[in-house]
Amino acid sequence: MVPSPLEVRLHRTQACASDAALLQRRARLLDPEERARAERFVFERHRQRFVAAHGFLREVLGRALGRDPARLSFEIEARGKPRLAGAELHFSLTHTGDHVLLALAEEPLGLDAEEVRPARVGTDLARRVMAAEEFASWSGAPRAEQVRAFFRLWSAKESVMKACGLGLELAPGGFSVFSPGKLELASETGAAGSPWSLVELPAPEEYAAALATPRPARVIETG
Amino acid sequence: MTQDEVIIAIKDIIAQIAPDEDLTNLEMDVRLREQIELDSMDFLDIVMELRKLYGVQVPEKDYMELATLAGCVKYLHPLLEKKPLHCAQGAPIS
Repeated sequence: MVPSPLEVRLHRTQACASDAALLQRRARLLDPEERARAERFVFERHRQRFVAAHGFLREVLGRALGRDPARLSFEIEARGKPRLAGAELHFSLTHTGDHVLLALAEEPLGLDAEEVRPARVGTDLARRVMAAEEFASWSGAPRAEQVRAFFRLWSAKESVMKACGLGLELAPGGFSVFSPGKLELASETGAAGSPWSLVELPAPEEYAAALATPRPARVIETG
Repeated sequence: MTQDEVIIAIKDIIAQIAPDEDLTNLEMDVRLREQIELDSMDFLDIVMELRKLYGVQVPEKDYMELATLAGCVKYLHPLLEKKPLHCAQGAPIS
């Protein structure tokens, strides 16, 4: 019997400071620890992105749970993965540039978005984050294909590293996210002793985004 | 390399990876990613530069040790104390 897909609700927002009222509203939702963390950023634009993303997280979670967003509390797992305290709802938050994406589901999941930045792509980094067969496929491709493929691969790997809660302690070169011999995302991978389903999310040309879930997902965009 | 020079070495590597960041007022005991915008890829770049510049291999299981500047000093100083400081940008960052 084919298991039913895991329903994942995907929310997006912008973190830019053009809507000062929205930013203020989101800032008011943060708890003292989050505010202190926001204050620690050296640059105002980073502070604003943090406030926008974490205020948005509280807004969406509060709505989903029917609870006051300002009164939600979070716990940090041993390797730094945040989770909601006292609720069986899992989330994964990511931001790149001014884009914020948030995924919610009833099982652990990992979401990552990356801005495609050609200057960041080098052979040394690729060799470190790719499995041997991925590097073999990638290194033979034209440069233009390499750049986009690198970020599609990286967003998928990071989504798995977030889903299993290990972060970079899970060596990205130790598992594959591309189909054998191709620069295309496989539908699943095995990492940290578990299978993970992978989905590439629609993104503008200059971004890549991926989602990892413990079983195949049905992604519902909720705006 | 002294402990202060380990800090200079780390800041110099971060300055190459994230040239728009202001590194002058970084706190020693607060996670770097809570003070400046560093993502996982940036962190891998730091580890790779440590290997390239100083021949130091940091295994994945030890990455958490490098989360703060104080952690970097504690973890890296024993590995770097017999090595000279290289500043890729030519001038030490205080």
